[in-house]
Amino acid sequence: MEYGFVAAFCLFIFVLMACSHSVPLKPHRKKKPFIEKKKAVSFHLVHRSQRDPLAADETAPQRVLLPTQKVNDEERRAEQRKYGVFFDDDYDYLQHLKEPSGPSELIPTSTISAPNRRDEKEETLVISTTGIKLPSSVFASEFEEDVGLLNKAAPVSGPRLDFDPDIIAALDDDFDFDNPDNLLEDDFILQANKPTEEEGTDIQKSEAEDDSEWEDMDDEKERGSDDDNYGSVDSSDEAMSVPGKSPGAIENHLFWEEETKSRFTEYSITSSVMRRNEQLTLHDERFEKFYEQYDDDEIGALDNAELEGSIQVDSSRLEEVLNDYYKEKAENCVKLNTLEPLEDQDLLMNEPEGSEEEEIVTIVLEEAKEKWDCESICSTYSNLYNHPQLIKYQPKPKQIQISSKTGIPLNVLPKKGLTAKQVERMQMINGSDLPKVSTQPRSKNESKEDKKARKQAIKEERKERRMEKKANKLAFKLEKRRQEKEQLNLKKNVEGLKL
Amino acid sequence: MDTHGTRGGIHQIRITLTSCNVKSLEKVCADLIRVAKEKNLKMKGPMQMPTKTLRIATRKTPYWDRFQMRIHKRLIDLHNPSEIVKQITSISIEPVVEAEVTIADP
Repeated sequence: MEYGFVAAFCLFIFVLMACSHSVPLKPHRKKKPFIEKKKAVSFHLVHRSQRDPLAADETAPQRVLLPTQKVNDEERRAEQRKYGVFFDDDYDYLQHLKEPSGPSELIPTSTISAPNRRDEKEETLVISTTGIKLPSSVFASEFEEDVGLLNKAAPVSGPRLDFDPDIIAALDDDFDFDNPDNLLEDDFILQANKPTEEEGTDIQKSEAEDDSEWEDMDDEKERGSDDDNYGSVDSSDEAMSVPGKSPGAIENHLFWEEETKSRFTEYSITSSVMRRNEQLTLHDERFEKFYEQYDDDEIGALDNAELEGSIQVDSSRLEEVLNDYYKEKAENCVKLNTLEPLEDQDLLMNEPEGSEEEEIVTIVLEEAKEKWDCESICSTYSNLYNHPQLIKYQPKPKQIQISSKTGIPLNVLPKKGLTAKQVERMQMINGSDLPKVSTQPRSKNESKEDKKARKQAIKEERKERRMEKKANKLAFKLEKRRQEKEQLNLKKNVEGLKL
Repeated sequence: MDTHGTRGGIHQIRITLTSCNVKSLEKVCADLIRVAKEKNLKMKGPMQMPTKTLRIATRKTPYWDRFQMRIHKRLIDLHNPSEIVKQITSISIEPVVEAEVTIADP
């Protein structure tokens, strides 16, 4: 009972509390939303871009607000279709369509923004649509560098063309470390630090032989110090030598005099950067030499040398060509006449007063036709392919057959004649020789009784014959069995007996 | 542009934190709340939106492979957050958590 009262009381209090809510929940009034979406601006909170110069700045916040683009689906799709993307799904393909970066600007290397910003008060950016003011450091910087912070620290790969040519030569595979010219001096630092002395001619010479000498290590050291080393260290002969190449440099070509164009490459950077060691270079040179052979323009047939152009009608060349043509024709005509001297002579005979010029007579020559007949045709056939033979008949020799009883091959021995017994038997008259009713011809005029009698007789004969056959069969069977038994007994008992 | 800018003009900020990972999300929330409380700002604490579960069932004979992804969302509302805007950007948020900031000016 008490519990019930307590429970009711609690419930009452609860209801009261609910009712005394600060905002009266009236059914027809909507609760005011915290943020009205139409008036509000949204941002994504993202890491600052590496290309942003403030990324290195520690005071600037490392996260920035990036305004969200609430682009309608339909609008977005229309925009995509402009660029040839015709998919109708919810994916934003515009993010992959970026304009190529514009022409790069030159910027001075000294840092601009960060220190200045610290001094001034922070500028505020005003978002146009709503008039909200936010500190500008919260947003991404307008200016972005080309190479991000992390990428600057990445190691550079590929050919470093900004190094000194000496260094590049030394880094090359073919660098000859044993060449005394290429060795470092033991006190090269001291030499490098010595005050410069100017020697006019030496400057030129040292420049000419720089790529083969290893005198200066530092890029920043002046050429003057180089001269000095050169003059002091190397032999005086070299210093006095011809203002051209010294003997040491004749082998190594001057760097800028060397012809870098070959038959296969133009003056391209790609060909100079390709990996080449001694063997490969040798290969290249060999190819060059080989292809030199084909340089000559005069190789090849001359027949197809065509000339184009115009020529005067009455020029001497044309007249010569025409004369040659006439001459050829005349020669041809002469040939014909020489073939048939006989006929010409006949003509001449008929015309004894004949003109001095020989007339051209066309004569038809008949080739001597060959007459063939079968034999001569056959005689022309070569014996390589033609092998005539008499037709022979050679029947296949029969296999020798052995009789199972005697073991002697059949049909070989002369056939035996009849034995005496057989002759005697043949002469005897057997019961089988007697005429049988079945064998006798049936007379045409047969009465019924005769027919019946005849049929009966035939039946009886058949019966007898059957009985004979049966008797014979039985006799044979018995005999066969007896013989088999005998054989078996012999086999079992007699075999292996030693007598 | 105003160099001596009145920092006023911002009245309400709603920060939406989304993540698949509850622990990181809670950690970030706690950070934000702590910062806001230090400045004694009026703040409505993390409001939990119902978690959305995305389910995909792929056939992998003889059974079905069921995959799930749960998206948790928290909202934090701030009134008069004039100074805190910069602070928000400098706190370290874990990479798993996605934050969106909506600013309104009534």
